[in-house]
Amino acid sequence: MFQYILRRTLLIIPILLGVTILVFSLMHISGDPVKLTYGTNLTADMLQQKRQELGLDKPIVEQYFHWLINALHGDLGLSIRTHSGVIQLINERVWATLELTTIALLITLVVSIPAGIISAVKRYTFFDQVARIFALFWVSMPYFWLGLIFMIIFSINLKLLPVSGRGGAIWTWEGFKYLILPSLTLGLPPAALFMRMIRSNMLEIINEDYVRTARSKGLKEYTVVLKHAFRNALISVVTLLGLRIPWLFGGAVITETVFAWPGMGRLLVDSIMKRDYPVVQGVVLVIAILVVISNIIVDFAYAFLDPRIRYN
Amino acid sequence: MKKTIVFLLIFLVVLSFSAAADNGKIIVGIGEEPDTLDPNQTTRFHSYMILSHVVEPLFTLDKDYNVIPLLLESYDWSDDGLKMTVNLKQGIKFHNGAELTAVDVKASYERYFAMSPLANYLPAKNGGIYQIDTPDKYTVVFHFKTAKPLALYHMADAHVSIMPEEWLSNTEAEKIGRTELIGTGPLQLDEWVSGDRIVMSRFDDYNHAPDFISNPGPAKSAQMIFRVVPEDATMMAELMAGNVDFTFDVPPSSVKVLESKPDLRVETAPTYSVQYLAMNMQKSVIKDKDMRLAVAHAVNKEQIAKAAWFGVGKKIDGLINKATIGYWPGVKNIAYQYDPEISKQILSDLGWEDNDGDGIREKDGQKLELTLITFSNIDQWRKAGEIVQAQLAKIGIKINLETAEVGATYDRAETGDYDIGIFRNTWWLGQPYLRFLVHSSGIGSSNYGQWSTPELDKNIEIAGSSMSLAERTEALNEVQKTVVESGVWVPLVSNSNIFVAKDDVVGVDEMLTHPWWPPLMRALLLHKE
Repeated sequence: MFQYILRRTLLIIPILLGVTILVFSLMHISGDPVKLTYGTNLTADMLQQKRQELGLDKPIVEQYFHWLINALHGDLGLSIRTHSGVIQLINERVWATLELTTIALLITLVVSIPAGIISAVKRYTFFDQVARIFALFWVSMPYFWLGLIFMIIFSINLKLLPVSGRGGAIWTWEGFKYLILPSLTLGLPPAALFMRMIRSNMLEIINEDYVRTARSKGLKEYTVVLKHAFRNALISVVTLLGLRIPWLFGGAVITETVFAWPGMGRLLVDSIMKRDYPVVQGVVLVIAILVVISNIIVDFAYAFLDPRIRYN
Repeated sequence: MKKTIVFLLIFLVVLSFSAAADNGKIIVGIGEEPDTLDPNQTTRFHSYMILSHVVEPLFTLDKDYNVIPLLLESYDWSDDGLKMTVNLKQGIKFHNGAELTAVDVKASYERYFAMSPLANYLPAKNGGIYQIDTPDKYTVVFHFKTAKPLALYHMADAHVSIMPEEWLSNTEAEKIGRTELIGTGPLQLDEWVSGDRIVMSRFDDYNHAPDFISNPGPAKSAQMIFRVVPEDATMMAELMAGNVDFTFDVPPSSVKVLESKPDLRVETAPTYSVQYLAMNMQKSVIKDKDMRLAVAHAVNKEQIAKAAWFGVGKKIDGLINKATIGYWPGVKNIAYQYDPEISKQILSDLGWEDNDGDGIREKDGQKLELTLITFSNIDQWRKAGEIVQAQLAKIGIKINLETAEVGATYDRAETGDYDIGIFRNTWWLGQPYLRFLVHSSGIGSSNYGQWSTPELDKNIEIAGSSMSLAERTEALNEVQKTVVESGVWVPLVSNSNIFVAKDDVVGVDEMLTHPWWPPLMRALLLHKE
């Protein structure tokens, strides 16, 4: 087990290095940030002077290693656009993204697990049919479109919830109400996917011999379903969870933009549009770390769920 | 069941109360978050629009574009135009309670020269201010290397705003314009929640607004909150839901929809921004003046304004327009008018004919194909490119439209890798603007026509340096004439400022009396009753 943890942890290093090299290269071939920031205001000489000040006149490899060495010392540099520290900018935004993605993930699980189990147990009933149609509907929804529809219904027509922005702390109503629509937008489409997966797995499992045996022992139905069947169905749910976490951050980029939610996703989009290299590098690095950590947690969860799994 | 209904009713009541409006504040929707509110660091429009509520320059512009004192009682030029003595108003307070004095002006100007990317005209390196004296608490003396007749205009720019010397010296550089900003403006910065909102409150000691504003201060609204709403569709939703009181960030395409809403007021006014075609004079085909004229006569600007700017933009004749200081009205008499028949005749005279019937003219086995570049990330430019492509197709010119985002397009423009480009520039003062666009020093960078003449350069210099207003005006008019006649630049459209306000916002009428609705008026006048 220890060896497994060590190996997985060491694997983070090449993954993160690869991500940073890729992003650094792509950003540098896609345009000049100085031109974009000052293009219509400065002469060619002044633009070149700005490039020198920012170190953008140096070879790209030199720029990368300079950035990497500073990053290893905990310094992600200064934003070209705002002149603020990248770590400070990320710190201002990361919590909003974590709030959004965590609540969205909870919505995904809270909606999909009961719906998936009931659909399987009550196969071909009215509930099952409705749940499957809804699942097909949600899974086909683009985040952008879904967000706008929610806005029109709940904010413009019913005037129940704010259109966009972020309120106070989420444990207060003033703060939480701002989180409802973005987290539903981000959480419901994957809930549909999870629900279909759980239903499909449960259908296989509830016909297994050991489930029949559990029933024949006279156990209550909910004990059979939840303790015997669902626990085994969870393995594939956890696998899907691991695969969906990067999607969650990807979806957050769109959802944050639509709902003006001040998270890292929007910071990333703004910085890409403005060619703010240091911020793009920093945000991608943080997202990559979050995704890698989430996947390691998912891997460890296998052992918890299924003791037969041996990591050596 | 009953319990559920009661619970839902309570839930709805709570929600309704939570959505109630607060009349003590004005919510302003902004489409882009400022990069920084430090006046000496930013070049962004949104930053300028917001920081101008907090900090002020020495001078400002009235409704007739005259430079008038804002933070000073009087000023006086020496006869040779090399020394300006400024007498500050006494009793003007900064937001931290300190009084505005001469040392604050000196410190602010020195910081501007050291840091601002926009400090081009006033610094010593360009013949401007080389020394600032403060003989007493309220007197500042600016010493110029050479006479700078446009200095007052530049000193009315918010980028050279006055901040307290002591605060500037004792505050960490990273905090200035981010978590703190101290000025003399009618609003003070309370909080900037990154990506979400900037909160400002009324500065109760403000009382020195210029005469053209009915309210000398303090501001009528207790609070002004700038909410960042980057997505156009979301901004529309916020306006329709009544959550935003005022915005100047809606796309032209939304104007018709918003005008149909009875509780919203939509107003437009000309801006000093200009969209234009630039013909690359380094390219052999377009270098021929007759070819450029054929293109100029084939472009229907009205159609572009109507289709790409949804009628909110206006056709223009010159490279600077009516809202820009230095505009020459005579330009409309010499502009090339839309007449595709003239274009066809010119092309035929040049020997370009469509012999194979494919709709594209050819000459000596070469098809008449030109590359048009423009920006892809804003709908209006992309559509303008498509319209020009269709208009030129009608006279037998095939346009290969190549759009890319702003940075990549500028890169191509700088290297001259295009025949024609659609570009946009914005500046409120004519001379430096034209110097930037058409002076020979800009060839290879900001001069996208890649062309100039010694005569053109000379007139630009005179327009920026002569102490005679008549001589400056004549020279600037001559530049505008040459630019249009050359056909190297074909002015297309000037987009309009659009603002949308809820009908319960008071002060809008007075704001409309000024040509560009300055932030100072917005801060002092807008409120809800």
